[in-house]
Amino acid sequence: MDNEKLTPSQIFVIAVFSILGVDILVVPHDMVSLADQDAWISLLLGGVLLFLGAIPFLYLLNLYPDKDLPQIILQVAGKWIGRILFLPIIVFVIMYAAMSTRLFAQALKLFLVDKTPLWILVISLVVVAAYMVYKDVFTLGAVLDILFPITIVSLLILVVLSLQNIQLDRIKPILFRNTKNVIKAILPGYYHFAGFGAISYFMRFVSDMKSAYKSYLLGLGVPVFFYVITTVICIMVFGVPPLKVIVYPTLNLSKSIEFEAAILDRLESFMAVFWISMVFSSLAIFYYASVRNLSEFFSIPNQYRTYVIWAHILILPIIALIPPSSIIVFELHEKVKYIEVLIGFFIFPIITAWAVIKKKREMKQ
Amino acid sequence: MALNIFRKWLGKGVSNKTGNNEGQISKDNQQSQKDQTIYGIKFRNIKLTRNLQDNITNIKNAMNNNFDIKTKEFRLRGQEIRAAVIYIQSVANEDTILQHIVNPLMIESSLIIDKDDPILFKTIIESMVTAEYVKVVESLDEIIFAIMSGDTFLCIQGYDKGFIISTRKYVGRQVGEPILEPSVQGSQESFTETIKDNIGLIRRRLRDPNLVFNVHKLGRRTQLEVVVIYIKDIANQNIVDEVIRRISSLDIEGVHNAAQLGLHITDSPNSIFPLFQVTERPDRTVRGLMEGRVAILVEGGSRALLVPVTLPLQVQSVDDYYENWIVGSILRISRYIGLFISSFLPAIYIAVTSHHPGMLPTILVLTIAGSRAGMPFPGFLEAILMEVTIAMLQEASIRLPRVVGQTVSIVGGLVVGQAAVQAGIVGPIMVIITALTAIGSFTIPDYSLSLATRAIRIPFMVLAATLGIFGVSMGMLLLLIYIADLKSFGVRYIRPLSPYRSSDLKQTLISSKERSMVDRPIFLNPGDKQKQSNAKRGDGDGQ
Repeated sequence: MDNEKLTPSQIFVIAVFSILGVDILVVPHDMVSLADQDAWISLLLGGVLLFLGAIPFLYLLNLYPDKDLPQIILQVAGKWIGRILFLPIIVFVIMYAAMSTRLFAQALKLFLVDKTPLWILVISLVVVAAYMVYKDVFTLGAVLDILFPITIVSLLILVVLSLQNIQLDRIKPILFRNTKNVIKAILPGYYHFAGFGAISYFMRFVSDMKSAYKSYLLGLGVPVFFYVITTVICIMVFGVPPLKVIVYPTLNLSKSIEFEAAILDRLESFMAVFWISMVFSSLAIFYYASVRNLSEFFSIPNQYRTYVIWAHILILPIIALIPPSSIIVFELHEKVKYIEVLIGFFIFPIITAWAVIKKKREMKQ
Repeated sequence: MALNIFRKWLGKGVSNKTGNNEGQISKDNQQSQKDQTIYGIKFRNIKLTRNLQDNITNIKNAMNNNFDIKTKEFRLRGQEIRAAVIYIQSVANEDTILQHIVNPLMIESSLIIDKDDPILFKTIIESMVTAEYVKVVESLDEIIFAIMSGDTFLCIQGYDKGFIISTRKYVGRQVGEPILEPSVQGSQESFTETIKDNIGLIRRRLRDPNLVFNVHKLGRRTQLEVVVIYIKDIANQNIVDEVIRRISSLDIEGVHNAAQLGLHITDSPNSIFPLFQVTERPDRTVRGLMEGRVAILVEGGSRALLVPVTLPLQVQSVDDYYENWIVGSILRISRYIGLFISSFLPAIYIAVTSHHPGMLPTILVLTIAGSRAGMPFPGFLEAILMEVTIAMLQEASIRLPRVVGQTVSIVGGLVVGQAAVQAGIVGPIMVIITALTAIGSFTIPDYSLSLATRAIRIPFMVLAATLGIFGVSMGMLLLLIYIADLKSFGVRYIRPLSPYRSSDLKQTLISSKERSMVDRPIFLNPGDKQKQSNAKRGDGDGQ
């Protein structure tokens, strides 16, 4: 029908995939390097921080229910200041999409297709995502709906099968002479949940706002759960010192699983295949967000939207393929997260406060 | 008022889509419907005269004096007034004409009417001709159309009007067994080529006064009846309007089959997936109507068209409902597996054996490698070879007469299976894969869908050969996006797989307890939401 809407269940799935992405491959390594065996506590506290950021953000969205983030910013802060405040978000979204594509392509090359050149992997991922964005938002919702169970089931299988290899004492001692590091690692833990704002591009297509908010907050819980649980399990399987060396601990985790039945000798290749859908989903969301961002930033009318999509087929692979080595990619992936702090702790609060004041003034008049 | 605006808007939509010329034609169409011209402007200017002989010659000339156009001239009421009936021998019922038209007018008329009274048309209609319907007409256009459809034209000397009397009699076959969609437990009746019988088959199963039959004439030359059927208080009115709009805006030479009509009114003509369901089963049609869908019958076609359709609906079979819900669900899931296997298995096999042998257990890899030792062709070529052979076999077994059919299966089975392996052209595992693929495609109840899997198989094999399992997953994502974007009469082809709604999924993806299916699936936006009462029945399982 013409008045198609996104359902709360689709908002839930979009919320999950806006955070759950390529980060799950590197989260245990990153966090353990900072906080040793207590990394999961920092991650959990980072998750709490995520919710603390998401609730005021929802309040902002509630003030403008029929607009998405770029439109809100430009309306609240005006044409020029709005564009300045908006710039970090544009950079963040593009960088995030490009870096996660590159990171995942590297992992694929390591674990699945060692002979295929990197650029083919990156470009195919981007082209498929472009096709996704070229279709409408509701198609995106439907596709993510179907990819969601695949991702979740594969993650659950990994968690359950890893339980046979764990050693409980590797996670001990809990918080012993380590509190300082744990607190220091909360903010990096929060970085890994970058992308909670992506929902703002979809909220205006929702039919029932209230239940959409609920399912959004519920959806944020899913990645927090999986990040914490994979970190805990990685610590218990590998121990802290090896984890500091392993770059893709989650894929190595599946490598460590041995089946008695020997049907699937190499689980990690299967996991890599299943996670293509996960990374693709997050890429599609950020691709869509970036297309919206650029169209609003340069005030490109809707009928030229396709050209913005085609432009991204060029921009994203170039950004993704510029870093010459994987070490630089990891560094860049980290640095992108600093922009997230800027956005989460400065830009969003400023816009929210501004919007509240503006609305109150309008109410008085 | 609102309806008018809606129509205007729809008209705009059409002209936007198909260019201005088309819009012009549909406008002309509307006008011509007012003027009651059926065959265009050809006969518009010819009128009936008061001279009987002139009329007969005019009508016969208009139909090119073909040999089966019969005229019988006789005299009304004894000997005074001359009259004639004109009909086509091959489509009209001659017995009816003689007994119910000629006989009463020739002989019985003298009993009823006095010699001096004028003959009133009313008397003829009301107390003489005993036929299904009688209609007074004056336009030649209408008369010729009626004669062409098997009705009889009665013309009387001295009048420039005449009668059309229904005397249609089409030869057709009896109700037969379903051939393409056989069922174990379901009814063994299938549609025939006569639309009247087909409507009867539906009516017999659904005694609901809200069952609506909306008749259209379609085709510039064929002029066949197309009947749109729906249940008024279940079917979503938007869908019904859309179906009727698309059918009445068609300006084509003619369709002979429901599937052909489906291709004319489908949402995306380029889609390889069938966006309409073609069925030969009356019980499936009735089931569809009760789900809130619209059925379309075409005169002369032995299939019904069901719209809108979604992928999970095409994987359903009527047998699912005749089994316990657990068994029914297993049947349905096995069909989904068949669908998956028939689309992707050869591609996955090629990808894994040629790019990622490490994904398989070592012993299996050794077995495959051993069986492939000394094979002249790479896996991809082998697969293409087998695929083409199977496609040809399938095609040949449809074309060949039933008597020769067995030869094909023997030749196919032996040559393709045994000999090709022994000669070392294809590996035995490839034969197994191909056979599994073919079997998988036979589990799909919808014939067009099973052909669609054949169409996507080869692109996937190419992806597998070039990019390995990564290529296959990229292809699957593309396919998923493509399917998710398709729409059948405004309903997404992928529903109700997305958005999730547990009661819809329970009824479509798997099967559910007949007793617990209280609500109709809402993805078709039905009017009457509840199927049956919510009360517990029997001593059930305490739900």
